Amino acid sequence: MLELHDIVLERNNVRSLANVNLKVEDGETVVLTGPSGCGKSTLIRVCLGLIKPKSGEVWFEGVNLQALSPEALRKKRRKMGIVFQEFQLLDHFTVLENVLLALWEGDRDRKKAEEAIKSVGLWDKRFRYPRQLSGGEKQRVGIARALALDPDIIFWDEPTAALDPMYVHEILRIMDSLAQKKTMLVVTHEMPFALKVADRLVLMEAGRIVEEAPPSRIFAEPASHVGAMYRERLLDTREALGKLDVKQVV
Amino acid sequence: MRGGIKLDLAIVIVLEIVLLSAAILVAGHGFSFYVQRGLDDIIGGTEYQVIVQVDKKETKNFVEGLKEVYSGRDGFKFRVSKELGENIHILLGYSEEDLKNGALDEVAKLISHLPGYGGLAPLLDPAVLVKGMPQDTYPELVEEIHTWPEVKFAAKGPLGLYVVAKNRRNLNKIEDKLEELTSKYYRWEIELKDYTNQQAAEIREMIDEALKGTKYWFTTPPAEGVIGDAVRLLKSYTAQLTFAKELPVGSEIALTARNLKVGTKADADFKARVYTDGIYLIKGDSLNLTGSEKAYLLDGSGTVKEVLPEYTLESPRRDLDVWEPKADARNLKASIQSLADKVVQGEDFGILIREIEQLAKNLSLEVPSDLKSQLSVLVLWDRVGRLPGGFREELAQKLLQWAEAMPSDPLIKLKESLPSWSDEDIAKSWQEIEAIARPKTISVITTGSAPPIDGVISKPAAEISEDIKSQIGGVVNSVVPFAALTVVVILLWVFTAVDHTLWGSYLDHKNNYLAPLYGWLLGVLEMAVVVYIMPFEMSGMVKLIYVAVGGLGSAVLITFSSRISPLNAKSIEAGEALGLSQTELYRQVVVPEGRPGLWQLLNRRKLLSPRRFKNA
Repeated sequence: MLELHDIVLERNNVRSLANVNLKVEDGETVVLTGPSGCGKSTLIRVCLGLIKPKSGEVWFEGVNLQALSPEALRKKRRKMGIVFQEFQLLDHFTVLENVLLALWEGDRDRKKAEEAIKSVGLWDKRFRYPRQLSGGEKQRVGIARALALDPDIIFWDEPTAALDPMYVHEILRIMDSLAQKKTMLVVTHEMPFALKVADRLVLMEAGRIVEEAPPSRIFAEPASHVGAMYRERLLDTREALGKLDVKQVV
Repeated sequence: MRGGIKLDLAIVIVLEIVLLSAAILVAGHGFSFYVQRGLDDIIGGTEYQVIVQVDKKETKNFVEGLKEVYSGRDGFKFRVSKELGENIHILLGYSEEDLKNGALDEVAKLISHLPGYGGLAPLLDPAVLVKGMPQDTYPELVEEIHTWPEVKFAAKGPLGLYVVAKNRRNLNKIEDKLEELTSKYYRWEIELKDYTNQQAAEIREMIDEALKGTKYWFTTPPAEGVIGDAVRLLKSYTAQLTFAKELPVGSEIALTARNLKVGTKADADFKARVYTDGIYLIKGDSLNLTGSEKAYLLDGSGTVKEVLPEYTLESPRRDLDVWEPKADARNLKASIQSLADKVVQGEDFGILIREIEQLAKNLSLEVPSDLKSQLSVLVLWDRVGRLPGGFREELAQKLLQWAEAMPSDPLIKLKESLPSWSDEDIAKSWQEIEAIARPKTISVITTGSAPPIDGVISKPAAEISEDIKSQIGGVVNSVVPFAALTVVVILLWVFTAVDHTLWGSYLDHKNNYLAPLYGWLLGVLEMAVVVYIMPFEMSGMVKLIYVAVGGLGSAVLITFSSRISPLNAKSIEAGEALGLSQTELYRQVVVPEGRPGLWQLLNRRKLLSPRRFKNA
C-alpha cells in the first residue's frame, strides 16, 4: 500500500532523513519509534506529501506521489488520514465542523462525519468547541476527523504524547480497535501498545531506519542499540509490574 | 467554492476602495465643517453675515440693545462668539428677504449707538466681490442680480458690491454671470507722462468731449479735493508770466538782466516753466523781479534756444495790500505767540488747525474754507516729510509778524501772508504736492467700449473676484483633501495590517517572497482609485505623492506580515493534510484564525456550515 524508496530529506543543509526505505502492506499496522528528533514525524509528513523529499519516491496505492499534480496529490491525501500529536483542531469550528472539514471538498456527506463522531464516543459533544473539551476528547475529535475520510491508511503521529496519562488508555483502546480494520503507520513510544498491536516495529535513529522486525523479535533479540534500549525499558516496566501486589490493587 | 481566492481578494479590495472613498468624503466634509465653524466664529459666515466687535464688558448691555433694535424682525438672529482681547465678537444673521431688502446697509445705523459697539465688518461667505464699478450703478446691478437663482443676495460692502452665493459651487457660475452683466462697462485709462494738473485736466476735457452724450463716471480724477484746492491756491500766489507767442509746454525760460547768446548755457537768477495752464516762476522771487529782465527760451539741456519778446509779469504777492489793525486783540496776540512757539517746536499741523479754529471761535470768526484746505495740505505735507527746510521757522515768523500788525481779521491776514514765501518755494511746493498726490493715470468708466482717443487703453471696468472670506474658505477647502487623504492613507494601512498582512503571512508561509511587491501594488492601486474619484481639487504631484506613500506604507506592513499576523502553522498543516485546496485552506483555516477585518467579515458566508452538507 505504501512504499518509501531511498527517501532523503535535507533541511538547512542538515540531513533529516537518510535513504529511508519502508513498506507498509495493506491491513498492516506498523509502529515507528525511535529517540526524539530521529525523523519519525518528518517521515509521516513525507508520506502524506506535506514535505517534499530531496530525493527518493513515495508510492501510495501504486502511485508515485512526487509525480502527481498538486490537485491530484490533494485528492490522494483524502485517502490518508492523520492523527496529530497536538490534535491540530480548528478552534473556530465545533467538533462536528472540525470533522466535517475533512469532507468539505469531498462528497459532503454529513452522515460520515456523524458516524465518525459516534465511533469515538463524542456524539453528545458534537456542538462543543475544542476549548470546551479535555485533551483526550480533543484527540478523539482528531481521530474522528481522520476516520471521516474513510482513509485507506491512517498515520498516527504520537497521538498520546500530549495527553495526560488518564486519557492515554482511551486513545490506545480506539487505536487498538482500528488496527483490526485499517492499515496504520503509528509513531509512538508506547511499547506495550506496539508489542500488542504492531505487525512490525520499525526503529529509527538519526534519520535512518536501524532495525525493522515484528516487535516480539526485536524485544527478544534486538539487533540495534535502539532496539536494546526499548527492550530494557519494556523489561523495567515488567519488573515494576511484577512488584505490584495485585491483591492490594484489587 | 465558486470563485477562488483571487476573487475573494478582489472583492475585499473593491470593498476597501468603497470604504476608503466613503472615508475621504466623511473626513473631508467633516473637517471642512469643523474648520468652517471655527472660521465663522471669528469672521462670520453664511448663517451670520455680519460680525460686530463689542467691548467685552458691555456684552450684556449690547445684547439687550440688540434684541430691542431687532425685536419683531423675522429671521434675525445673533450669536455671541469668540473673545478677542478686550472685545467680543457677536455674529448677526439676517433672513434672505432682509438681506435683499438692504439689511446690511442699515445695520451700522441701527446698532452703532448701542453700548460697547466697536465697529462691524460684513464678511460674507461664499461671495463674489465686484470692484471698480461706480456706486450709482449698484441699484441697477443689484436688481438684476437678485433675479439669479444661485444668489442669496447682493449688497454694497466696504470694498465694492458683494454678491453672496447660496453655496460655494455656484461661485464660478455667478462670476461668469457678473462678467457678462458688467461687460458693457469699460474703463478707459491713459497714462500721464507729465505731472501737471493742467495736462490731466486737458485729457479729462478731451475725454469729456469724447463722451458727450454717453453715460460715464470718473473714478480717479487727479488732484481733486483738498489737494487740488491747495495746489490751485498755491498757484494763485505764484508769479505768472504772459508772452504774446505760444511756447512749448514743459520748456523753461530764463529771466535775466544780462544779455545771453543763443547756444550758450543760461545762468540766470530767475526761471519760469511753461505749463498748460500758464507760465509760472519756478526760480527766484517775483518781489526781486523788476519785469524789465530779458526772457530766453531754453532747450532741454538748459542752453539758450531763442530770445523771447517782451512779457508781462503778474505777481499776486507784490499786489497785496497792507492790513491795518482794526480791533483790540491782545489775547489773540498772546495766543498767536504761543502758536508760533508750537510751530517751531514741531507741533503737528493737525493740532495747529484745531488751534486756529479755536482762535477764530474765540473771536467769533469763521475760518475761511480755503484756509482750512491749505492747512490740511500742510498736514499731509508735514506727515510725508516734504515740508521745505525752514518752513516752520518762517511760518512762525509770519505768525509773529501778523501778531505785530494786529490785523482785525488775522486769519485772512494769515492767508495772505503765507504766500509771502518766495515764488520759488511756492512753485516747488505745489509741484511736490502734485508729485506725491497725483495718480499716474487718469481713467473713466463708460458704457462705450472703444476709446475715441489714441493712447487710451480700454479694459472691462468691473474687477470680479472671490471675496476674501470666500477665499479663506477656499484655502480651507484646499487643506481638506490633505486631511482627508491622510485619514485615507492611515485607513489603508489599517486595512493592510488587518486583512492583507494575513495574506502576506500566508505568502511567506508558502515561501513566496513577492509579498512586499503585493503590498506595494495593493497600496498604490487603492490610493490611485480613491485619489482619482475623490471630489476635491488637488495638484497632480501631491496626488502622486499620496499614492506613493500609501503604496510604500503597505509594502512595509506586508514585509512584516509574519509579525503582525502570525499564522498557526499547525492548523494549516492540518488543513493541508485533509487535502484542502489553497482557496479553501485560506477560507476555512487562515482567515478565521486571523484578525477581525473586512476579509474575515466577507469570509463568513464562505465558511463551512453543517447546513451545507447533504444528509443534514
